[in-house]
Amino acid sequence: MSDRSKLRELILDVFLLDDSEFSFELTRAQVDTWDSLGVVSLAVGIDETFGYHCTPDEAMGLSSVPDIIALLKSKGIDLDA
Amino acid sequence: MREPRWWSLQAVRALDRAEVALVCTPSVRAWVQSALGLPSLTALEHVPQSATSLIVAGGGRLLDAAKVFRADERPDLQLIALPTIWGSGAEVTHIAVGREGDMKRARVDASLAPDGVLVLPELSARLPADLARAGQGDAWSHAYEAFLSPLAEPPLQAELGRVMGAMLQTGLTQDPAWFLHAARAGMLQQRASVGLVHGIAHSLEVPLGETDLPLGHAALCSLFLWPVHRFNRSKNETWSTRAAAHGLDVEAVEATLRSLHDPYRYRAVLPMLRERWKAILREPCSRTNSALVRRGDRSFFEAFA
Repeated sequence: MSDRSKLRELILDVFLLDDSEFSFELTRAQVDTWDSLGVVSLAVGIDETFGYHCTPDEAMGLSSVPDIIALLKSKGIDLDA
Repeated sequence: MREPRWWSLQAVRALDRAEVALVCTPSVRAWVQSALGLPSLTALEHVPQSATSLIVAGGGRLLDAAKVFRADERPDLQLIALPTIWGSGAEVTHIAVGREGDMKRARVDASLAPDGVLVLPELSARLPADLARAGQGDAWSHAYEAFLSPLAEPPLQAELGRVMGAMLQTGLTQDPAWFLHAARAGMLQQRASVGLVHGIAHSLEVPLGETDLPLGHAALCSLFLWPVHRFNRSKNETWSTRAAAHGLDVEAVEATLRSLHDPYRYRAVLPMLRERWKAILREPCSRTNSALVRRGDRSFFEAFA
């Protein structure tokens, strides 16, 4: 599975979304379940899926899927590669 | 978050009887009335306006009901919790779990914390063995899940490690020390979070209550601790890393979790877990599990049987 697909599956699982609700442009404001619990799940999921352990500040600062992609890219995980 | 005051029997007996109300769970009413030298009311609603202190003797359900009653209707009352069974930690937490439709939901507020706790060690001898063991599973689930919580910083992990060490030392025996172990585990877990064991318990208890396999919260926690532990271990290294960092006896902990599991009962509950998987995923406790719980992870628990 490509890293982009892994991210897609991660977002669906963390925020309990249906396939039709996902896009790579998704923002926190569009997702009811992107709440404080979602932030915790997201951080755990990023660690398990991509091997990067977010700091609490980093996790709290993620407010869109592009943000997640940018964070991972800054840590050497390029989803567009 | 303030810790409740620990009362002695002597101090409770010294309270002005005219201003103290006692409510007891029926199974221990006669004994507690005799121990405290107080008559018991039959319901929280009967607490007179003249009362300034309320002592409630019971398990988690009654203690949580008393916490909500005091917070919502009688904030003037000093609430002293007397746990008659160990496990829930309700006597020390600012959390009250109640029923909301087909789920159990946790309400969290500082006003819910009891003002005091009275532990009567003699009650340990009166506990039915199966309930005592289930309570131990409940306490273990608090300590274990909080230890692994993504929200637990290393100092809290260390405290929880010490609680687990103490629980290992006492063993799954009918030792009154379990009142203190469960209280400590309860107090510490509210500073982090619990996880999938509680997510499952909160999602299954109500619907199971309508079947011929009604299992309460403590029994469900005991049942699912071992499978969830195996699940967590399969997903990441948090358990092995933290256990090593805090000097936990991994073998002893795992042997304990395994001994609390009942494979026959687990297989009987599986159909309900299958049916309620979506609810389990959405349950707040599941979302703070130490390993991400995914839609497809139901197959792990199905294969575990």
